[in-house]
Amino acid sequence: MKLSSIAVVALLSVLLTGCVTTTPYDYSAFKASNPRSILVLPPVNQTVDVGASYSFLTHVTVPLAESGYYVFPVGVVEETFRENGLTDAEEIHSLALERLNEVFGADSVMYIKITQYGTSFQLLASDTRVTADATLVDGRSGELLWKGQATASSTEQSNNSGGGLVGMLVVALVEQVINSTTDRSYQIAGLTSGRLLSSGMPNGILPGPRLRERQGQ
Amino acid sequence: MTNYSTQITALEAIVARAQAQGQSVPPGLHAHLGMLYFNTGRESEALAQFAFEKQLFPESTHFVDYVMKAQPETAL
Repeated sequence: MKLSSIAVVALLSVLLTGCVTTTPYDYSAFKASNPRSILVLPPVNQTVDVGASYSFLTHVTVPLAESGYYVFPVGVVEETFRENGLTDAEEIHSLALERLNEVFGADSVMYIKITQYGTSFQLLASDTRVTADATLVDGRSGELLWKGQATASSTEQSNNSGGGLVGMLVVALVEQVINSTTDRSYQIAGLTSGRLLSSGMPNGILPGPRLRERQGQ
Repeated sequence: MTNYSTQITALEAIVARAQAQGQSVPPGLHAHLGMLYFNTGRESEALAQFAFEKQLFPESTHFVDYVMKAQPETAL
C-alpha cells in the first residue's frame, strides 16, 4: 500500500514536471559517501504554525525508508534530545557533528526547514500549502551530499468546475470549510514530504542500499 | 495517541500483522516500541525489542546501545 502510494506520487510528479527541463544534479559526493542510514533532525519551523515541525516530522520516515535507507526512529531521537535538554530545533541543527556521532553514529544527517505551512484565505479560493527544503550531509565529514526543495498545495486537487461566479463562490466556500475544519495542512505536509524525500524524483535523493539490494543492483 | 498503552497496542498490532503476512517491519518500529516499554516499566520486553532492532537493522547498533546505556535502572 505504501509502495503504491509512493508510485502515485512519483507518477504525479513526473506528469507535473514532465515539460520542465531540469539541470541534472551532481551526485558524485552522494555516491562516494553511499550512506546506509539517515538521521533526520527535528525540522526548523519558519512559519507561524507551531505544529508544523512535528507534523512534518511524522511524514519523513515513510518515503526515506521506502527509498531504502535506515531512518533513525524519529520519536526515540526526539526523546533522546529532550533527555539531553535539547528541545529547540534550531539549537539541535547547530550541534557539532562530533556530538551527534557520539550518540547516533549515523552515516548521514538530514536538516529540514519548513518555509510554508498553512492555509491562506482569498475570496474565490483558499490555498493550503506546505513547502520545505532539505539538506543531507555526510555524518563524519559534514560534506554536502544532496539538497532539495518541494511544495504541495490543496489547489492542485480541487477542480474549478465552471458554473460561473456563483459556482466559483460555492466551491470557494466549500474549500474554505474543508481546509479549516480538517487538519488539511497535515495531509498536504505528507504530499510535500513524499515529493521531497522519495528516490526517483527529479534531482531527488538516490535509492538507498536496501532498495538497490531488493532490485538486485 | 499520547497515551502510552494506546501506542503500544497499535505498534504490537503492526508487528503481529507483519509476522502473520511474512512482511518486514519498518526501521525504528522495534526501537520505538522498546522506548514505550521502558517508559511503562516493562524493561525485559524493552531490551528484547532493542535486540530485534539491532538484529534487523545493524545500522542502529550504535544508537540502540547508547539508548540502553542511558536507562539508569538497567544493568547491562
